[in-house]
Amino acid sequence: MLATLQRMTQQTRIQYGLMLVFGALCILVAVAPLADPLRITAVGTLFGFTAGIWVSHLVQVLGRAASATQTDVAMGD
Amino acid sequence: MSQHDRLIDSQESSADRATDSTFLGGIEFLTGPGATLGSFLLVVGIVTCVFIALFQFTLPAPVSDLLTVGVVLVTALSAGFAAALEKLGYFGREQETTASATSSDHRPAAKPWVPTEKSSAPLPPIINFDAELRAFADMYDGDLPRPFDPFIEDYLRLKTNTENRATIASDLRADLNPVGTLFEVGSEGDRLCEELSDRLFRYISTRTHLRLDRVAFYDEAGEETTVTALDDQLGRVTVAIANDGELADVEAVVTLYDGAGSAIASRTCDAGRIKPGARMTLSTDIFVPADTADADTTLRLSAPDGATADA
Repeated sequence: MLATLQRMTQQTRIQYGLMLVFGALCILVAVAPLADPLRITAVGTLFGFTAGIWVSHLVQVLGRAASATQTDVAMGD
Repeated sequence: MSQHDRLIDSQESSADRATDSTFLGGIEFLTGPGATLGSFLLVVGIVTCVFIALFQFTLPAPVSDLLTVGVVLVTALSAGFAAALEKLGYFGREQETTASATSSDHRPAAKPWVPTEKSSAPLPPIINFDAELRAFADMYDGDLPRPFDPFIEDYLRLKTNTENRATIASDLRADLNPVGTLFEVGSEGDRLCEELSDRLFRYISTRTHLRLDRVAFYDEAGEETTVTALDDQLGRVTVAIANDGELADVEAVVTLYDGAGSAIASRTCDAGRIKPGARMTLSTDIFVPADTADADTTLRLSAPDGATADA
């Protein structure tokens, strides 16, 4: 587990950490005894943050994968 | 805690760590090193179910439905990204990188110089270093240090190739340099390194490694004698050959000379194919003319470009 974490880049570690924090907060707020408007707003916002970081992370990974493929082709030549 | 206890403790903890890493290794991060498409989709699916259940059970109707649609959209988007990443070979590449790193880290420590994948071709004794590598391994309690890695890799190449062994032997000799720095001058390890280097040099610099161990002439009574004593008689010659090199088709040629140094007779004897490290004794009848003053025995390869080894 630690070795896996060490192999990841710092950006990836931060992204996973933020997703974990916002996702956990989203779950906690959803079951918290708060007034509905406040709960709905907080859950929607936290879910938005979590999903946003996830999608941006995927875009970043896709970009890295694409550039790695281009490097492979260049090396092949 | 004694040193022995600490040793056992460290072995147990390393075994625990190995089990731990195997178990947790299965739960790889979605897009981290070693991720696969299967683990990616599985975790995305689990997270989707958790969020949908959370929204449906905790939030009122219109909002829960809207957020559920949002979760499904993110899941569909993730699946699209997963397909794109798979198309780019991202998952396979990550897996290969991890696998190669793992295989290099977990090379069998007992006898790393024994090939495991390809069938090995027999090595000539001159470049068979199994005994020396065992001795090195014993010096390090069976776990050879890092500077040995290039040497072991090239030695495995040497064992699984027969065509370009001279080139690999040159590489192997260069690989001895980092190994040599591990030992003090005059130590057992240093002596072994020098021996390996000398044997590799002999292998590289000499084309054939056929050796004439013994040539002897016998008279009709079976008594050993000199070639000049067999004056105008039928005698017998025995030739002992050793092959320290590669598999070779060998023939021995016994040439007789007169006092002026001119060849007056010769006898060729086919030894057939001699395996690396094998020894063979040939025996054949030979008529020795009256004016024979000297004899010379030559070994040559049966192949057209055969090299010779004189005795």
